[in-house]
Amino acid sequence: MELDELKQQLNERIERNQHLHSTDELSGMLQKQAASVVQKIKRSLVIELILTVIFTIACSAAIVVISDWAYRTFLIGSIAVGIIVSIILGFLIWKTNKLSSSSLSVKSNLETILSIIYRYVWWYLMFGIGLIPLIFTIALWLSLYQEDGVYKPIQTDFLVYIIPGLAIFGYLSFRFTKWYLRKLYGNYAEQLDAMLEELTEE
Amino acid sequence: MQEKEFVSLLNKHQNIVHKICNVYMDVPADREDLFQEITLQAWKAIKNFRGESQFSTWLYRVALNTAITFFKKDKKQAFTFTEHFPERTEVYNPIEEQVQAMYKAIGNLSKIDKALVMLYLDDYSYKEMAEMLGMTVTNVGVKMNRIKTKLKDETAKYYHPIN
Repeated sequence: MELDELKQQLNERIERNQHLHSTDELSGMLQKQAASVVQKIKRSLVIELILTVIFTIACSAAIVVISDWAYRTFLIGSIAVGIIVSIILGFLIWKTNKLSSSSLSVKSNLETILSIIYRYVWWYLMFGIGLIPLIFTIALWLSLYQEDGVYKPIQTDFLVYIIPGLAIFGYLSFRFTKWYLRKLYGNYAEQLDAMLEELTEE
Repeated sequence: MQEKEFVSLLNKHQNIVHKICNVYMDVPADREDLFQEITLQAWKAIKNFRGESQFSTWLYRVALNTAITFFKKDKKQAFTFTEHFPERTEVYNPIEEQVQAMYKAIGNLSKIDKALVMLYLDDYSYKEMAEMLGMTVTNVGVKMNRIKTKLKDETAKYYHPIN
């Protein structure tokens, strides 16, 4: 038996078991929160943007209070990082908003979701590999190499410990972030990728 | 578009969403979750609906996109045979049996193939299907032929006529 022969009956079968919603129920649904992965990413991005802005403002306020040049330099660096991070997060939020409000073809939709996930994952990996260990190292240097408000030049023993330490910290941070992101989005991205392949294969 | 107007349009065309939910989700609770998600996605996207296509076609596109990218976490989507196919009635109806077998075969297709079958059953042309899915018309034709053959073979496994 062929698909065409059963077209009418199949349509009837698919339409069975429909509990039609009233307009009140439909209105109620509009007040709820979306559960899609993209919306979850968007929520995370918004929270991260708020925290970054708070962090940047706090650093700016601290500059006014602190007079020590080394700490001020560190704070200026943190503000610069905060601004860059805010711009990146803002861009990702704009991108997810654009996706939510568009009706793309299935293929373009899959490509856009995947690009959002990959950008998000890339951003976190970079954050994990570079930024966190670097900030810890600078903070360590600031706390260890100060005597009566005078900073000593970086000593060889510091470099001997800190460079391998930084490498290990960066590696562990990278592995953890990668594992965590894979747990959160890895399988989902793989499934979307497989569907995209299915759409493009001849 | 105002909320009231949107709800009224959605109400009129909600059978499209129900059909997609029925094909993509086996468990009633999951169907409701998907229905909810499609409704929200459509509401978010409605501001960009310019009326270049019919509302039903636009809703179909949003619903398919949502259904295809919607995954239920930590749940095996076990096919609930009895829910879809009630116990055999005393009166044997070969057409009904065939439809049930075909429906089960559709349930085993991939998400993309399900989308193609749904659009095909709703009489969309290959060109419209290609536009909606982002494929070439030739690719749609090739895939539809493969799907038809696959469904024919799969249905034969589930359909056991009583002589």
